[in-house]
Amino acid sequence: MGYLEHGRNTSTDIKEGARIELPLWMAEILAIGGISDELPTGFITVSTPAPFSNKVLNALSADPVNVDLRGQSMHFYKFAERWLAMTGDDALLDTVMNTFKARAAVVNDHAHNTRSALMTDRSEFLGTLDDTEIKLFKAAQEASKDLKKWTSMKK
Amino acid sequence: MYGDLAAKLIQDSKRTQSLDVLPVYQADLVNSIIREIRDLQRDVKILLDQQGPNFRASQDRRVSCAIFVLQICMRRNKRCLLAYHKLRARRLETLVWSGFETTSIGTEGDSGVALSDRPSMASGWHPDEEEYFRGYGDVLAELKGEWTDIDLTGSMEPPRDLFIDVRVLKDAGEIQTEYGLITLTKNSQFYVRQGDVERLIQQGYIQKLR
Repeated sequence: MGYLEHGRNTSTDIKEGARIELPLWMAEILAIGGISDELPTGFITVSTPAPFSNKVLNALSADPVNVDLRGQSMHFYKFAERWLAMTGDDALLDTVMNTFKARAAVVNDHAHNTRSALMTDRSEFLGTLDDTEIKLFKAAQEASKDLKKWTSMKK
Repeated sequence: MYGDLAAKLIQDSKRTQSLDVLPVYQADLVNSIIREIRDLQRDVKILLDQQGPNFRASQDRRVSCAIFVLQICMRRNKRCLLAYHKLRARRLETLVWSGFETTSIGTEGDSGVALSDRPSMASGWHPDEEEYFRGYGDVLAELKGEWTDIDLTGSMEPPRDLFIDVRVLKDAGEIQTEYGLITLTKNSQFYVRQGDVERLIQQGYIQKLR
């Protein structure tokens, strides 16, 4: 790791070994890009972000449907995509895939039944969806609406 | 922190995706981001000047890291700007295709947007955006002109009946149809052939009743 000089405090350098928070797009490039052929290591190393900690992963593998994904990260799946592209962690990959499959089934269920027996925990569950799942939910709702419209059309 | 302004722009873009109307062009935000890019560029130049003509990246990790960080911030800002403008440009193009006209009272196909909303739809555009809209409209008109038999920007839904009920929204004088002369006065209803009135529907003079 090297020194970083940030514009907002140009007088202070950030010492080697310091822990700071950086946006993902910056951290990604700094971690992967080598300086030159002679120094192929990156400027920084990144540590596992909170949504992918062991605690969360354990919770996800135990019961994916009841975990508050939105609380972890609004863009959980997209974030996971970028992170996995960077690190290639197989265990995380499997967990995220299984989570998605399990939750997608429930999301679909909610989308198709507006008055279901699951009404009580419905709004609770919907509040835990991340961005990708919300899009999925809306798409499923549209599809179900269109289907009903089509089947009830005369002629 | 660098890139924060760009993040705001992206948030606006995300909001735009779910809106029907194009929100106000963020001229101030765009200008600040451009200023930020210029500042970053200036900082890079200063750093490079300090190093002299034979600077090699591996010589001084500190400096090369600093330059690198500034560089990727610049690229990030540029990328966000491009994304914002591309989103808006695509929206404008969709509007052109749907027959929207900033000068007249048009409805978007058969959706029947209320007349009172119309003036606000074209407000908040940057003058460059209006120019783009006009230019694209001209190009499209040229394209449509090649095939006079078919209206490329017409409704994609096949008509259900030959004749439809319509209500007149605005006085439009008299029109000649196959079945004779029809006088269009406000709030009157007619039962007419679809083909005759489709153009008027698109211009907003009459409204189709479902």
